[in-house]
Amino acid sequence: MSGDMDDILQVFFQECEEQLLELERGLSALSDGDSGHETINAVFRAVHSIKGGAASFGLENLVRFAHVFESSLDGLRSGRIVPTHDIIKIFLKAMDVLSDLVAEARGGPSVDAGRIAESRSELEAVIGKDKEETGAATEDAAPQDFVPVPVSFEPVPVDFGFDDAFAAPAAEPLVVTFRPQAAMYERGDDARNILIGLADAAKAVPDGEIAVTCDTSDLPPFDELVPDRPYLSWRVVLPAEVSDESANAVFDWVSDVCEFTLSRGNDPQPQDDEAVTAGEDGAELKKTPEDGSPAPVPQVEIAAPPAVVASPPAPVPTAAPANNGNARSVRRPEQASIRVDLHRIDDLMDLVGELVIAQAAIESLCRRNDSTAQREMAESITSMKALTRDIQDAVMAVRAQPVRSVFQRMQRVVREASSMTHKDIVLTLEGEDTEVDRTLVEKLTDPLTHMLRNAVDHGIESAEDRLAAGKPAEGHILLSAGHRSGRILITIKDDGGGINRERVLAIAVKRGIVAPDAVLTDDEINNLIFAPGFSTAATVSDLSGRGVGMDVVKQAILGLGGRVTIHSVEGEGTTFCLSLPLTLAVLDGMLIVAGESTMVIPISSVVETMMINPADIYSLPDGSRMVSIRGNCMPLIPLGFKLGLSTSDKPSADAVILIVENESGARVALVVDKICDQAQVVIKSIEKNYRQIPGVSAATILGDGSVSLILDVPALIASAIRNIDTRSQNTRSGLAA
Amino acid sequence: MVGKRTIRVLTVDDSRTMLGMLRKALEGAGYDVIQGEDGVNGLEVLQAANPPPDAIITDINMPRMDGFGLIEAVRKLDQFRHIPIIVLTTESDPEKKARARAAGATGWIIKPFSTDSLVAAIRRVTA
Amino acid sequence: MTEAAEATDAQIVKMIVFTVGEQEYCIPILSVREIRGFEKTTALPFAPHYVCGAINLRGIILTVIDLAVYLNIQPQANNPRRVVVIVESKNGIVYGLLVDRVIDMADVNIDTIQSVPEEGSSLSGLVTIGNRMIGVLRLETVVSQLVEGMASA
Repeated sequence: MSGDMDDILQVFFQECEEQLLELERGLSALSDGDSGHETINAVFRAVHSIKGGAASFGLENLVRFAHVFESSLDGLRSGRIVPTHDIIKIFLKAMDVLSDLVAEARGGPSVDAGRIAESRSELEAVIGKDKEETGAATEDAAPQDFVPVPVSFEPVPVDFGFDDAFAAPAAEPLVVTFRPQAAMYERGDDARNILIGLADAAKAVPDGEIAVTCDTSDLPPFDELVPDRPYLSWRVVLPAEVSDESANAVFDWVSDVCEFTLSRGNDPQPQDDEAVTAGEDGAELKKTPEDGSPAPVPQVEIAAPPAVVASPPAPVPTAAPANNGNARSVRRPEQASIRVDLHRIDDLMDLVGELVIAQAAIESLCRRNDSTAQREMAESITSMKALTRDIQDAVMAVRAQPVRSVFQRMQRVVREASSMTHKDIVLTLEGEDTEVDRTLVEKLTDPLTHMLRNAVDHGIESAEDRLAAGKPAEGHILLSAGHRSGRILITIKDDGGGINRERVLAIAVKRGIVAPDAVLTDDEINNLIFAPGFSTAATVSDLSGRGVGMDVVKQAILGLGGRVTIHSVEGEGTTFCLSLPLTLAVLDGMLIVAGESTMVIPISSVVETMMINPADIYSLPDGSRMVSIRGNCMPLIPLGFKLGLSTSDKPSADAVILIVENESGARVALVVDKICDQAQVVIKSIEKNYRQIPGVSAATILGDGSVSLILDVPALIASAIRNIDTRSQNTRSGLAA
Repeated sequence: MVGKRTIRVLTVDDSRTMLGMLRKALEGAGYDVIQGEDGVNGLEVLQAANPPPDAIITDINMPRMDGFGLIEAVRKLDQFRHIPIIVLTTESDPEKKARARAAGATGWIIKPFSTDSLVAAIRRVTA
Repeated sequence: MTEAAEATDAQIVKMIVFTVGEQEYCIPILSVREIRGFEKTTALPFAPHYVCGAINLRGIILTVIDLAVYLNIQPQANNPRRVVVIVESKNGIVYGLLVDRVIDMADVNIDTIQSVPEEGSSLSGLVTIGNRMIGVLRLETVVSQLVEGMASA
């Protein structure tokens, strides 16, 4: 049974994530000035839901904090609190604490008590709780009317939660009379339900049976009877052991629409002075009771129904364990699951259906042996191909997820980083709905976190510097996502001081990353910040940490099949562009042959193809060649030779040129022996069982079962460009050696 | 009494956690459970249900249509004018109770609920 | 022999014996995944000279090491029956060893392995079975050179 609970717990955590996103979204809408009813309600509901779920699992730390948070949001809802900038900041901070408490409940690190207390008291200050109340609340944090009870689905003996202490043996039987009003029936309740409730209360004591008498004296003659009007009242005698409380509890829901009295003793006459009357119409009550003899009407005996669950004398279900939830850190490993729009699954099902039909068609064609079968077969296979591709797309759509979750997490990153650096920075998100493969979404978190911290730490200047430069004190960072030609493009743009290239170069020289006499383009200097061991911070700050630099970010992005480019204007800011494949699993490729090997070039990087014209080729003194394509010169790379697969770098007469481009627009011309085909290929790792190969990003398996390499175009371009531009460096190291 | 048919309960909550717990608890006790994820959806599920449910359990605070709105809407449907409706509430303050009553709720259960109190409540209105 | 194999004595390791050129080598049979015929491999850029290339083994891509080249031995001339022994390392790296012929299984008592003087050798030693000298391949060395690259390239 606890397995089921674990499943629900996983759902709860998943839902917490969603609610936290809702909360973040709502709070940022609030800070944008949208204090609409729906926004505020959504914010409230998010915290409310987390609290409700957490209570069910006895996650006390979470419940307590959520409760305070909820109360202050309730103030917002009722209009008692106006969402000023400062108050939203408090809410945002509380949201971060809440999110950490969720992580803690999930088995993560425990949250610093001081932080919780601080956020709590800020929240309490928002609702304007006075001192003594606050004090009480912080020590004994459980809200009085709200005690978490862990739910147990173990078969617990029935216990109605009524304190047994009250069931002190009463000498005399308990007599209950009640008379429902019309309103009780209108609410979907019934006298029968009350009788059952009383029978259950009786059943909780040994030999608990009840004796029921129905008073029909008010029943009018049949022809005057109005179906909706209540005419009946009941008198129920319960065993003496049944407490008043348990009988009272039966009337809890109906106390406003049902007159009832409780009394002790077998005295047929109800004692009015003991009567508990909640009904408004007290006068009628006095008429209700019987007039002495208990037998004017048929008497019905209702035996206590058999127990739903076996009930040995039972201890009251134990309350939540007293520890603060830290001991609950042992959790089952999280199950990876995604939520998918139903229509996407339906689309997939439709396609699979079509595939089955297409397969049947091919099968029947196989059995035929006439002249047209061959041609029809070719057609069928073509449509099968199209279907397969559609299915692939549909599966990708199932795996696709908006980047929103990662993006919104960045709000917090920026918030914390800016408070640590004492900068006022606003992060704007764009294109959060852009969808990418789910594995990619997860793997983006770390690089983005690092880049945003970097932007806060090094990108945006201090308020004084900004003011001095004639900019607003508040810094801005834009994080945006979008699709561009089959890839996803993520940009991080700050309006800071831009990269100080002089300083970057000086540091790079000092660290021995480049030669002192190296002549580098602006772009190359910018890219030095990605060099291993490079850090521009004059002092190692808390934020950027030690050792982990932008080189790690670049490696991570490269690892995802992506690339990073930088654009920076001094005084105006820096933009980082990440270009990533939509999926990590398949790729549209062009099959080419070079050095007797068939290889795959991602189509997205191919600009154009053409036959080679020897007249356009120019040899450089170092043996490398340039080619002029309509007046533009670019390096010419004989692919087979470059990869060491053929010994000659002389292009054959019928060789083909492929012009390929990287994300920043640099182009080179690859010389290949021939172009075979275009195909969608499944990406397979080659490093898993081997090692990294320069110029190769992965491999795939072709239709004939053979292995084919997928070329790493950006790396090829980079190495070709490096050959040209860093020659001074090579000369120097050559001399030194 | 009619033959022993499985009692069907409609639970309406915007929290999948709650829906999961309600389903677990009720199905564990032998009830047939159908679910709606907010007031509007709950109303749709109710009207489309065949057989119709014998009782409704609903959360109060939900997007699109809250629990009170749902109860009022259900009570306007001739077929369900008398269906027992139990609201789930985290607060037990008299104001909430009064609102639930005024809206036409049969009763309430305080969250977090135990399986027993939940089943007892359902039993009370459907036995 | 058979009795020794069935003994629970941990010192006895079941080995698969194969020939490369004129010499015999063995590796623990537990590290062998399968043995398959040698088929065309895909050449890999910048690969060590002993790597024939990559093959596809039911969807995973792995490289084949020509043991003759690796061990610096003259392979048997024109042997069309060369086979690839597919090996999986302890950390899950799968690769193939191209050998001339698989000839035998043998139970080898670890204690009888005589070490060779060569430093960092790809052999953990020699063992005598009958009157044949058999080299015991040190697979850890082979796989680390394959994966780490540069040093041996």
